[in-house]
Amino acid sequence: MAAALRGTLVTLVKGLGGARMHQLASRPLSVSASLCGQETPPPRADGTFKVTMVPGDGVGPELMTAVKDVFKAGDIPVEFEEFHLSEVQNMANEEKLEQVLTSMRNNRVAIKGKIHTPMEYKGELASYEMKLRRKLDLFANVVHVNSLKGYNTRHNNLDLVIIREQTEGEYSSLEHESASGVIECLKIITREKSRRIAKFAFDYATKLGRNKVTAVHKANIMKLGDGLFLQSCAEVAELYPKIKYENIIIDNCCMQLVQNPYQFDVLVMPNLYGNIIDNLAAGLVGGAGVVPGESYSAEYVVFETGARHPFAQAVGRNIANPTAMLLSAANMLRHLNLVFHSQMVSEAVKRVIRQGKVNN
Amino acid sequence: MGGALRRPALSSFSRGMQTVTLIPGDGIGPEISAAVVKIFDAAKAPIRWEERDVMAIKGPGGRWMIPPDAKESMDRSKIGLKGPLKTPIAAGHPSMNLLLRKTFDLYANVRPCVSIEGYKTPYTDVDLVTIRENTEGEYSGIEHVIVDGVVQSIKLITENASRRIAEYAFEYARNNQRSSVTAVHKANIMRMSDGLFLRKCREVAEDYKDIKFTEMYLDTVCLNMVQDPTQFDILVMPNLYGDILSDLCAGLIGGLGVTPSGNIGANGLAIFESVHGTAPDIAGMDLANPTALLLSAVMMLRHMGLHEHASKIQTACFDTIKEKKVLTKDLGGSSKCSEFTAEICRRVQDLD
Repeated sequence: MAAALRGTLVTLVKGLGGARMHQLASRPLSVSASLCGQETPPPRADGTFKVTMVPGDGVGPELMTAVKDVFKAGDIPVEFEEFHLSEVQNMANEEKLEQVLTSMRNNRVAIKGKIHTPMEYKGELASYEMKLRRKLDLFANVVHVNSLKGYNTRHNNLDLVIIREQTEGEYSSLEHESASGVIECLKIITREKSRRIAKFAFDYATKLGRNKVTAVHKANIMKLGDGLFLQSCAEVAELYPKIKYENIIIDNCCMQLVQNPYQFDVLVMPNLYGNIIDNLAAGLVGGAGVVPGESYSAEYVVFETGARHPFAQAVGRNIANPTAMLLSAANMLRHLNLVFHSQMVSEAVKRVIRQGKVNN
Repeated sequence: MGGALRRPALSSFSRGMQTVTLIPGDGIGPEISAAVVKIFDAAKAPIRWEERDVMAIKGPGGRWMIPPDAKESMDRSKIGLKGPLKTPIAAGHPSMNLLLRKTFDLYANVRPCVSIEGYKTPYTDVDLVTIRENTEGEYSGIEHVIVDGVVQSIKLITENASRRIAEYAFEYARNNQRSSVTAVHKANIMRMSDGLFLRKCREVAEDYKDIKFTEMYLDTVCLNMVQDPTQFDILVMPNLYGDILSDLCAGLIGGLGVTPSGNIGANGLAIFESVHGTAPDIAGMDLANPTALLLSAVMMLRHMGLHEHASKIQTACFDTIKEKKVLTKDLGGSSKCSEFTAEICRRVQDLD
């Protein structure tokens, strides 16, 4: 029965890439994750964990080498299954994508760099990065914005969590030329996905012991679309009386983030605003090389950097900052319940930064 | 439609009195408008103010429109200065700003963000201009409910609007001696729509070889903007990104209370405004800060070619803020609006 369920789920997930109207491979709000998990692969006798690794483009491979080196030095029981998927280097096709997906589904945990999207419009509207996200239904992107001692930025002691809906919104890849010289791009917001991300945000806040969740939107202009998102957030907020709920308009939010970022705790928002705020917040604490992030689906989790840039100018020059990737790897270890090793890695990173000896 | 922006010869501006339509607005609007008029008087700027009200009225055919005398005045003077307008909820008519935009086809929103010496923010040396396409993009207002629980918003990008805003950006760069224009986009994700915008920008850049043209992703701009805003000069972008980035840049220099803004329309029409709210809680109490409206008025003077008066007033204003002796409450002081205004007037007359 489990195999049949798994088969259905796989078909369902495959279908996610195409049709817009579909059944989500997600569980209803009342069911907990442990009840509808697939058959987990049996634990290995030597106690090592298998993790899928996709280095990606730009400085990705270098950062991954850094992670591997650190893991070897710390004798950490994690084995990486590497896949080189890249759109710009022409190493991407459906087959490769399938291999990566199968590996991810088996291992349930992955660590990856950014798969760069080439600028030229080659006839496909969805990039490989987005396809990966959709097929695994990685709906929540969480970025931890923490000031690191040793980095001198304009704002110190920041501690934010930014949660972003990753599968719908402006990144729907639905564009067409309706008349000559006029292009329409569709932004889709659904109640189900909005509720799902809101529930995720509140659950996450509860787990981390946070006090406030702020929804970011532009419902004064996009009354129906963002209005629906806002309404869903408000509905879910009622289920969590202990957590304060607020909302703020995106442009005001950006302004407040540069003037007084301490007023925010956990932020939740749809896709495009998430991209903007992720990068803004990363800039506040020191840049793209400092902020770790992860993407969650109901069954899988992918660890990566918070602000996703391939940073192509730095390739091969040994100047890329591996902090973000290492902190993300530490988060991954905590997720795998290797708490001791996780703390070892993150402490080591923080100590190096604090000492200020080696700085990019 | 459109055509080249027809700007009257410089001489007619500087010699005779120029008419400007003044829309005081609501809340603190009347006080700050009065302050600006007083300061302009002190600077002896050749401006004749025509005050008009823009409360929406229902015209023939049931469509909402601005009062005909306001429209006539604007069409005649071609330049407007506007205070904050209240957006009434459930009044039945669309927001006034939207109405003005549609009536005069205000396609470009220009916000120069310059750090004010004396008003300290963590970001110093900011000196950039955001130019935002104001008529289409994500704010086209076209939304539908497809089925219950699924909403679709349409983002519209057209060739004409993209070309028009790109041309304006490069013209602005040339007229104000700026060195580079950066197009901000997300063409890696929205390949067709932002791709079109980007293509038009590139095409227009070909005609302005003296201005450096670069393109940058929106997220990269945000990342770099908060780390080092000095690397940016002029940013041009579609509607939504412009809204967010212009407010971000306003935050860098100290907020909406000190940020000027201008809207450029077709046929050489321009309305300059302050973008903050009406602040009903301090209305009528002489506590308001007229800086935003004043700097917008200065922007207006530059647009009209009256650079000397513009510099004089701007210097007076910045010097007053730098001195820190007479400041309104939001700038960190405890003076009244009238005192602040009087101080600036005094400095302007001293500079003569």
